[in-house]
Amino acid sequence: MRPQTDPQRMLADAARQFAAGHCASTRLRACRERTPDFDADVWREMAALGWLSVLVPEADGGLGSGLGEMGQLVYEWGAGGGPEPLVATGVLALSFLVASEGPARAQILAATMDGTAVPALAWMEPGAACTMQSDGWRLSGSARFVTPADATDFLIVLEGSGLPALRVPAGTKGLAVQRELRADGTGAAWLKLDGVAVPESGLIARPAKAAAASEQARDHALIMAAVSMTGTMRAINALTQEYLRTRMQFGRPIGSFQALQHKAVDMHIAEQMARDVAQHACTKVDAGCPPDERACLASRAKARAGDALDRIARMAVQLHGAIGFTDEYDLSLHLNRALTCSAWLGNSDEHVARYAHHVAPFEAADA
Amino acid sequence: MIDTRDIDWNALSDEDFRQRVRSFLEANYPDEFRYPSRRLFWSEIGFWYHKMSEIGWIAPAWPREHGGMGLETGKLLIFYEEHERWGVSRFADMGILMVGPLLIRHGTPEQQKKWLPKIISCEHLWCQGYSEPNAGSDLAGLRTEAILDGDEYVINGQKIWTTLATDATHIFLLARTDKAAKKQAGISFLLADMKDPGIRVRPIKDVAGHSELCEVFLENVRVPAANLVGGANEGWGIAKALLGFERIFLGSPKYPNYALGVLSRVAAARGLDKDPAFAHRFAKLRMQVEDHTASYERFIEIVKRGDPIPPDISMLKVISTESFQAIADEVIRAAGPMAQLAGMVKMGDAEVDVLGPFFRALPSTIYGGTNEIQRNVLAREVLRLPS
Repeated sequence: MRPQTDPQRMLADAARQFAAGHCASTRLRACRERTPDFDADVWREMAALGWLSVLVPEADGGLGSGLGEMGQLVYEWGAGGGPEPLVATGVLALSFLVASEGPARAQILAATMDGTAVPALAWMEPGAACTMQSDGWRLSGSARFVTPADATDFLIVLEGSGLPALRVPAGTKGLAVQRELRADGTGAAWLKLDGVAVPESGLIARPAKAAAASEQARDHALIMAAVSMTGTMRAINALTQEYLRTRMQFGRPIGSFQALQHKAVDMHIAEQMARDVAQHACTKVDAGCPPDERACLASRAKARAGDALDRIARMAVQLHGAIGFTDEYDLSLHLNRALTCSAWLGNSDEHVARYAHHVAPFEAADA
Repeated sequence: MIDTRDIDWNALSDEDFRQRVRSFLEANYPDEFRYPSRRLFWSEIGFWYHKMSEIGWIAPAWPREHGGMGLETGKLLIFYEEHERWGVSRFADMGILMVGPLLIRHGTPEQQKKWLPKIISCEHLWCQGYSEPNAGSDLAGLRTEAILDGDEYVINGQKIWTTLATDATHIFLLARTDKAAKKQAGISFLLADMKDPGIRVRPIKDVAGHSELCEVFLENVRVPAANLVGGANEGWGIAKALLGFERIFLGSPKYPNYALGVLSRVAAARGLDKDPAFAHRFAKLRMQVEDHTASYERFIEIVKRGDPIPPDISMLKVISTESFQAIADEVIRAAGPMAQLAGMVKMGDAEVDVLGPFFRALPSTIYGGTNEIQRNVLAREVLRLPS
């Protein structure tokens, strides 16, 4: 991200330094296919640095900043490639809590900010049931692709209006968590709820508020996911350009060959454009915009980032040649992260469709 | 028509200025010339430039003392934005775009006095003699030569891809004045009158059937030594410095946007607006144009701040022209059998130039520095890849 203000510049510098110290590939590799799939110590450090307070209003003890500020952290963390769930928890779950108003909100919000709770937002699949009993609610149904898989709490959102959002701590009776392995070595939880009892105190958002809060959180997370992906693009392009400068064949650095130069340039252009679009979304959303426009900005950012990262990651392997196909070379970490991030929260096709759904009818410039 | 030469444009608020430009264009620019699908000839659009000249708007970027509007960068961008918004054909006269700024910066007071007023009054129309049959992307390899003979230069050679040379009264050209010097070092900037008996113009018919591009043959053309601009053998540096911030417009979303408009009309006429597969493709192209605009605006901010234009600007031209071509191709696809028809095509109640965007887009990846050259520049100056 291109910092626009002095505070953003300071955040970016601090984040770059932190990422440099905590994203050694030995650590990233050690986290793969492990439970938990991230380091609790690193997460607590991030919380202590205030990273989980950026998007929280000052009235709730946060910094009251916007996506422009959070984006600086997410961007550098994306470039580093750390598995800690900065977007899944630090944006998606957190933005949802911020926009909610139920009795469970304050405590879980505070615990998320200080790093003791690591919540995950879970959209229930169609067919889920939520019934009201005298002592609270009963939840049944399933939710897939929930991250982080090792969440301490699940924030359950039911699609459709008239239903509340509820907090279900991991380990609650009737909740089964099946872990699915993602391409990048992190996990995704497949939740199966069978008559899970949620007391009144577990209410995060009342029916009137839940849908709007979760859509706002979705848009924030889409934009931050796009920002994080542009960080990954930066890392891949830097690695690839360095390889082109140093790898010798036919007695010359291969980066002197025009066929390869033009591919590298296209990767650069794709990265810059994805960054411009994500940045534009941050600026517009921070300035305030109606939900339909926000959805368009978010879907544009995610679709653009998805297409660009897919293209960049694949071309990077080609430009590296066989070494790019090995697990040992660090490009493998970025490639697998690219596959995971592109599919998470909707791929570019899905976001073209979402954009088309929310956008105002087209008016030709020369009508 | 009101003469507005006394107004201090820069003193107006941006909004006020924008409104004035907008209402003038909307009230005065004829509908049939909006979003032209080719360059317009002087016989078609000359009246418009005369009108702009009369009210003092012909040279927005020139300083006031030379007859321009003296617009500061921010106001200039607004001026151009409003032209783009209304689909007004941009000043094609190279006198306004190139010769004026050239003389204002590098010309002698005598040269300025001799040439500038006639550019402002539209009495002189200029064309640009840069490319040659064997000097396209490798412009510095040009071979047209100018030899000093007494107080005259004698020019021999050939220029090509000269836009609207048939309309021009004068030509400014790059010619080799020192054959011994290294490629770029022996080139000078010269001005010539197209009426000179040694100049012959041959229009080139293009694939669309238009003849805007020309060949210009120069045979023993004699021009006064006073027509040398800048020092002898300094032409290359001057030509490079002349590429002002206006080159940002090569990367503007204007043409992709115009093509999107044509696409939506073709789609409506063909009932494709109800086809979900088309709707998906259209949404994707619309996003592409909006995303391109986000990148374009980042560079506009740089221009507005008055910062130097970074070499990364080349990416905009690549994005703009390749989007334009992709959308123009989609117009052809959407038009189905209609795309076999030349010129304006009846589609329901509408008349659409189906192939217009295609033919307009096709050369865009070639002119203004081919997209391959743009990629070379990016590889060298931004990515710092080895040569």
